[in-house]
Amino acid sequence: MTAIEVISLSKSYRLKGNGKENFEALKNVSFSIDEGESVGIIGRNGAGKSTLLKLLSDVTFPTSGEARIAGSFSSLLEVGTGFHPDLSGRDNIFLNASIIGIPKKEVNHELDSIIAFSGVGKFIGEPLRTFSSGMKLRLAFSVLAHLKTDIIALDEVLAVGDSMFQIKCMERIFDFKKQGRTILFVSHNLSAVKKLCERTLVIESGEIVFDGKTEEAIRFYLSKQRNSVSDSSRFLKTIETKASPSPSKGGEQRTHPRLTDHVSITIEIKSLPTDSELDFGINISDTNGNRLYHFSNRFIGKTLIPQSGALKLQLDFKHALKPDNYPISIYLGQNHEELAWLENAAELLIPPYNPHGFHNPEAIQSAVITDFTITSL
Amino acid sequence: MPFQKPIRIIRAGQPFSDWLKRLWQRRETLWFFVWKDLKVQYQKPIFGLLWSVFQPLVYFAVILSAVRFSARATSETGMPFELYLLCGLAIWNFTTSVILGSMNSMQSNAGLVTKASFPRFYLILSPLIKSLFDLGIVLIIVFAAALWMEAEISVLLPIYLAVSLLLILPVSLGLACISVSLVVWNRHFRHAIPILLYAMLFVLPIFYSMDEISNEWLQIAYGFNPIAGAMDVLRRGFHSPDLSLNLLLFWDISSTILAVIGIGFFRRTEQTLADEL
Repeated sequence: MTAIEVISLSKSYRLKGNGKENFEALKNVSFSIDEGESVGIIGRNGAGKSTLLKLLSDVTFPTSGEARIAGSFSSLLEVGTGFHPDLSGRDNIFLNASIIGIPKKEVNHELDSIIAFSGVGKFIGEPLRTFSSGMKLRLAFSVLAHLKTDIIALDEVLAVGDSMFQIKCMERIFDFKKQGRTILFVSHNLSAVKKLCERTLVIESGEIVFDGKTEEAIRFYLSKQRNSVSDSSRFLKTIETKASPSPSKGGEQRTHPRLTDHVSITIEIKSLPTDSELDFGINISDTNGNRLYHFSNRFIGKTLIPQSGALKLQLDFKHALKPDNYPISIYLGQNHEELAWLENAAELLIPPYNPHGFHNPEAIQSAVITDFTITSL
Repeated sequence: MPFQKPIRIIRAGQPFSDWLKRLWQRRETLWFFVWKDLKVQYQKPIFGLLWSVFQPLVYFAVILSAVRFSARATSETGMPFELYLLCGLAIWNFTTSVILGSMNSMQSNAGLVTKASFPRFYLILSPLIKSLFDLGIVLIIVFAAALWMEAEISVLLPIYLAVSLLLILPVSLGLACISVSLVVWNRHFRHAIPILLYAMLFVLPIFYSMDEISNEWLQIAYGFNPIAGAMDVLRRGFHSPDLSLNLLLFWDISSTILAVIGIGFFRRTEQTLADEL
């Protein structure tokens, strides 16, 4: 059964600055979502993701078009909407719940469980202004965690709080999913989208430019972010990445399973001016755009001279990255001047691997080191 | 799924019937808004009460001393001047606090409007209900003052009070809707409206009686002014009951028209409220 059906929905804002100019935040958007689906929505800031969610949540009204929503719907555009600092933690539970549309009867029924889940304990009767920001966040989230609606829309809810809190949120959202509820998930955190959603919509300047499998959607979105597609096709002939266990040294016996800690990237570059040395750099970032690893031939004093304008290079290194996808960007320069910056030219995949039976591999935020010793003293 | 789920349709413009239906469906949220305001104000009950009556009492003291000083002692009102003044101030204070309260509630809940879905009309209804509560307290003081001054109290006082409320509620609601719409349309009205409200203190027959004014046009204007009407009806509860039905009808019509225009304006404003705040 269809849970959400959107038919050529548009929204334009009147710009107040110059005359009667209109800004179209959403243009003729159509899609439909089945009951029990988890759908991600990704796109750059200002692409229209939040506008779409606001329209579906009745926060604002469309300019034209229509949407039909079957079943109860709640949207969490913010954590702790309507909290009042002078009211007690308990009062704020009721206030917040009422604003996001949970009836008082339901809150009464779940109150003990909400308070227990928040971990605020005996402070629940104290005014909210005496709470630490972490306590406020936990209290707000425990209200959300007790939502009973069929469809839940989340907008960057995970962008707040520390990493432990985000993990807790994510677990709860997975519970929602297991219960067969429909989830709409707007996020810049592509790895979270990948974990939660099978299907993802990519929004760009108010239009849905991709609707399909999350893996493909993310690839599409990242490739759209390349600021110079022409440069990429002009200079880059091939690029291959491979992650494998590092070769054992000198007949050394490995008795424990190992991560794929060795990466090699092979690149063929073409159309280079032949007259001078090449500056070659590689950057590896995570899907959230944090630049993690930098490599440059200049770091190790290696001279690269393009013979007849082409060059084939292989970069080998040992990494400590956790399993995920990592966009690779390439820098090409000559005579200390930039020739090209190929943003997200390729992707490095570190395959999922948890041989050591970590209780919660999601909790690993960055590095996994396997090359170390422990000595009993 | 064996059961049919209710379908919500989102489109530009919402029929008035849907608007009313939703207003009723989410009423619990309205009570929470009112409850929040009252709870915050009455956490220390003495201060809460003080703030309810502070403004009308300060004006009462100021105007009374000014009038007494100018030796303009008893007027032709047929009731103690203090009581006459208190009745006028009670009504004026109510209208003012509904209008300012709505503007304030729109501003202080801007975050809520852009992040959560609930009938926006609650942002006007909840200050209205809270002001009604405050008006109740002021009216208790008015009644106590009447007893203390041994003023003549009509047996029809409850009816006069009810009629007075029926006049003042739609006007205040309408004016609050219009004010909020103006502020959303152009922010500068935030500064202009409070000034106009204070001007009302002198334009309305609060510390003088319309009978003292000889200008015919002003008399006619008075006939259409439902706020002045509400004051007049309330005051009749304390002296000779000679209410003109003609005048009451005019007041009633203009009060209803103001409410209809106000709600109409607000329904337009509401459509883009989350975008403008």
